[in-house]
Amino acid sequence: MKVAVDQPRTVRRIALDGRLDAEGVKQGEADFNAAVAAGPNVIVDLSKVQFIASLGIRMLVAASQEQSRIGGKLVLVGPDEMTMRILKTTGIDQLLPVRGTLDEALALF
Amino acid sequence: MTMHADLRATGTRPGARRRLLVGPLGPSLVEAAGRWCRALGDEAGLDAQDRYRLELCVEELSTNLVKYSGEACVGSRVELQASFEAQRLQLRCVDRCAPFDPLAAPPPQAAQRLDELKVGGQGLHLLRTFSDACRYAHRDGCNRLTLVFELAQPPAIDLGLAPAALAATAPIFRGVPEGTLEPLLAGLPVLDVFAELRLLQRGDANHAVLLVLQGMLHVYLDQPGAEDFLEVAAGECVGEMSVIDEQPVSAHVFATAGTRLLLIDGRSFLERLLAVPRVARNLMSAMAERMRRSDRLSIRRTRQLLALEQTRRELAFAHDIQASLLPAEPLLAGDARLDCVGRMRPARDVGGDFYDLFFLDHRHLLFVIADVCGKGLPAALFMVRAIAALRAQPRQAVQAELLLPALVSSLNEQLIAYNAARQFITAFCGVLDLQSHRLQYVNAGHNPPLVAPAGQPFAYLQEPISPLVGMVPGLRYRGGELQLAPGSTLLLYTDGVTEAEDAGRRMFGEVRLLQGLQPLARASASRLVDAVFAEVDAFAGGAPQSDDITVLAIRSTGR
Repeated sequence: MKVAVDQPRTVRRIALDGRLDAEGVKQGEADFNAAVAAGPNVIVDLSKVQFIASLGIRMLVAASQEQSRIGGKLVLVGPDEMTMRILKTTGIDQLLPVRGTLDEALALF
Repeated sequence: MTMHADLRATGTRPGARRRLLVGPLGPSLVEAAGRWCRALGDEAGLDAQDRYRLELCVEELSTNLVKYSGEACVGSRVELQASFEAQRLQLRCVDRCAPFDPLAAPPPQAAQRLDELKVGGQGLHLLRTFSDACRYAHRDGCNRLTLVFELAQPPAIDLGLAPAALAATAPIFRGVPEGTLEPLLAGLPVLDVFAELRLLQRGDANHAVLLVLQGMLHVYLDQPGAEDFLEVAAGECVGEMSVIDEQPVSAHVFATAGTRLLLIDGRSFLERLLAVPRVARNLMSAMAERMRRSDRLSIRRTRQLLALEQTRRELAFAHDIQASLLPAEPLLAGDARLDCVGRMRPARDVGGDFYDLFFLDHRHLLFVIADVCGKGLPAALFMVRAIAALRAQPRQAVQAELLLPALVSSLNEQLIAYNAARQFITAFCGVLDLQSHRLQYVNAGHNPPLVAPAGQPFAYLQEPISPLVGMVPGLRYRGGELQLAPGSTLLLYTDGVTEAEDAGRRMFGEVRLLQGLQPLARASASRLVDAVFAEVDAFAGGAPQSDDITVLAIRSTGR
């Protein structure tokens, strides 16, 4: 007899809302980092992010590194066109999975 | 660091619309720059993408500057200049940090793995990618980075009209016919100051009139940071005098945080604005008012100076009166049996120390040294009272040895009466019999004097010590006695000597006083007094004298 148990993976969605500039990062970084460190596997929802600059990128990269450390994965979802351009310019899209919709993102787990 | 070069550099060009943000380099720059360029985007009606590019570049520019500029240029002046011309926005950042060409850095290598990514290098890369052209130059000690944005749609060219509407409420434009100002003011740069900054420095050349649109300027006629300054509020301007007469600026001008100014270059001001008769008249009224204000200020200051001068003269006079209250030199009219020298050096113009000595009869010398609590005028007034009371005491007693304790008790009662300020004195009083060489004394809370009996070293006369004078009524004072011989020396002093401080706040102390005087047990009174002052001054080494210093030396010559 064979027994197979599938443990459904939990993936948490962290939704960001606002500007990921110096000011916005200063305000929200601590909460965001705590949410990321709470357990493996997160989707970071950027669909309500209107602006991102390099300090915001740094925050996302650090979060992704934290996820690898705790054996999880971080997926970005829903950036608008300009945000996507910035992710591409900085090469982040090559290093972190970026998806358009939540379903596409969930499929990666 | 002046406005001068920059103001000229930002002179108007026909058709250009300019906005400037100016302030000291520091953490508040990033937030202020962000707010400034968002407002700029609104005002110019930029489309979403252009707005994003502009905000991104300003954010990267300012974070980079704050992060990598180094300690040395924190607080130095930073300027962001935006200039709209046709369908193009030119953004320039001018800073005074060490020369650094951000365009010379190679584009960051694409990272293969997450942990290889250098986020630091990304900011400059974003600048280059999201602007349409960039240039860098180092000129006049400034880094000048220029970014060009080709806009998707023409900016709202009435950028110049909003300041015109604001400026129209300024007194200098009061009563000017409608429609006259707009073409004259359109295109003048608007400058926002995000944190307190010096705009003009006395002695600098000036080429622009600064009209306050909102916020406040502080004008220091004297030293920056002085208590007296003129406030220049919204609607008023500075710099018009130096623009008119082409003389250097006569005052220091600081802008408070959040001040918005319209920069009117000298030529526009002289040739275009002053050509409007109503503006010329308004300017003359404003100048007359400013002159009156500054006259009032200088009259007030002159009055204060005169009052101070008067006080100084009176204090100098009081000093002379106080000096004349002390016994005249040579002490005791040069009586050959004694060699006495006294000296008081007050910490301020007048002091609270005193000494006195006189003969009770042909053989008994009474002497006193005293120190009133406190210093300055209050102490000096009490000193006058104490010395007068002392001199009014009865000088005979039924028994000679009761004289001193009775005298001090009586002085105590007199000083307690009418003493609302609760002042008091410490005193050492002695009577020296010049025939028997017996010394009687009362020490009322005073520093112990030094005694060198004939041919012996100096020692402190410690016992007995009684309470100070003027505090507690009904006290009986206890006297002491010492048999001396001809050729003995007494040195009395106040705590200004032993408590003199050096620059490190160490005190002179009794040990140092004794050591310094030991070789001088046979020296003349004037040498002793000179020596004490010289030792104290050498010790203090220029540290300010904090208390009155008084020394009285009494030597019996044995003649």
